Amino acid sequence: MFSNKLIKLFVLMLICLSLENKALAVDPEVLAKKALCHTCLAKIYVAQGQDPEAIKEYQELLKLIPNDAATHFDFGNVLARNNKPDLATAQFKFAAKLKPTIPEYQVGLGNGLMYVKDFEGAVQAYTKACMLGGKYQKQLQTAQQYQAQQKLLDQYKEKVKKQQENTE
Amino acid sequence: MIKNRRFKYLLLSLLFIATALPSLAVGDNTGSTGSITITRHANNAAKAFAARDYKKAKEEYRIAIGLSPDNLEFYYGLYDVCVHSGEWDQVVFALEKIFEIDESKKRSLLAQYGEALFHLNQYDRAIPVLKQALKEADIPAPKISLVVPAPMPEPVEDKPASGTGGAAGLVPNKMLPSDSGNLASTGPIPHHDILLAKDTGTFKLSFLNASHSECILTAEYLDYERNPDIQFFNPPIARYHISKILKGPPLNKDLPIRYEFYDRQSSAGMPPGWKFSIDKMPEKGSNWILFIRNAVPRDGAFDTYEGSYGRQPATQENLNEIYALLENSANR
Repeated sequence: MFSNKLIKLFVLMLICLSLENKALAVDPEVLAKKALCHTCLAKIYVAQGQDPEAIKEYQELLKLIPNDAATHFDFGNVLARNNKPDLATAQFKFAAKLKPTIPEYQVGLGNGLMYVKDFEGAVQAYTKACMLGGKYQKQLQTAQQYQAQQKLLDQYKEKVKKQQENTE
Repeated sequence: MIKNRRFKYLLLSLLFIATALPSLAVGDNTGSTGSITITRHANNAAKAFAARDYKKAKEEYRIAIGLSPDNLEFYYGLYDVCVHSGEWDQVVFALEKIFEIDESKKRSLLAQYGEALFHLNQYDRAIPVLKQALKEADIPAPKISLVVPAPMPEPVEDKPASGTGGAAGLVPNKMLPSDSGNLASTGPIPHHDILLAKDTGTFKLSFLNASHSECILTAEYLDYERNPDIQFFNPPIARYHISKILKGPPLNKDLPIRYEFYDRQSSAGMPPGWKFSIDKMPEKGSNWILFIRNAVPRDGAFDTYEGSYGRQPATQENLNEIYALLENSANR
């Protein structure tokens, strides 16, 4: 008698679990449709120069398809255009990580890192882009020059610091 | 005794099945369209699509649509082909036709419609459509397949199509009576030799066949575009003004027509000594009946049905015949 009840309870639990799973699962067709709508809307707003609207659309889109490198890259470009280099760099990083073989994504990342003054990172990204077949030698040279200057500046600062310590 | 009875029942049921499924008879293979010609075009389209020959696939679907303008499958096919070939104006055309035929499909295809409008740079139209599509995305919609229809059973040429016209139960009733696609359930059923058109070489240029065109209208001839390179096989673009659309979509009143000098069924070729002059063109202000097979321009101008045959003088007699055919078609 007791075991019978237990079995019934177990079956009921299983049914509840399966129903819950069904409710939580996202229909891939719906997902694709929503992604398509947000992509189109984002691109329309970009074309119309309505960047705040475009940013909202990209944010919604990335909630749906967080592993889409192209979307991260496009979003990064919009953010970069809107003077948000930190956020843009983060998006470029995602894009380059998700698809490390696309030179454009590496260049995007390099550009972003130049803005945030991470010249070493920028050199690395540009180097990768060149190795992948892209023609970005100019950007790479510029980044290397900046990196060298940065090094000199750091060395100079350290020297000044040491001198100050000595005089004290 | 009992065994004998059982045997009789078995025979009887077999006989019943055989009579109930006439479509299974050899040579009665018209696919789900009820017409050998349409099925052939649909099959050709599906095959061309599979071979990634989108141009041919599109043309075949356009012909199939011309012959059976109410068949949703062909519009789905056209949609799919043109999405692949990036012909977004055709995509919009196909989707709008689908909505026109069955409005319930609109909800499930709104996103695709918005996408096509976006590609056509019609942003003001696209934005509300896409927003609406987003709102309705969560509402479960009836499942439809947006894929090119699979090839239908191959038509059998050497056997005449039976009058009942194909897979019973699959074919809408209105398609059954006639192999001529969307015309006349009343009157005699045309022999399929006529309907197989170019394939058999016995195609007849007739108003009946021409009336399968997507668009039929009356128009006034205005002028033609001057071009130093007008040849027999390089016709000028003639300008017409639409007076009345008898069948088909609402086209712009100013109608550019590729003014071909021969009917495409003719194998006569260019007449010796043919040279273009203004007398080869109709009189300005004259009225014509134009049969436009595919209501979509090619290189900026519409093609008339089978070349010059698609332009007929708008006489009372001709108009009367067309009206009768259209009336018959509407009452099918």
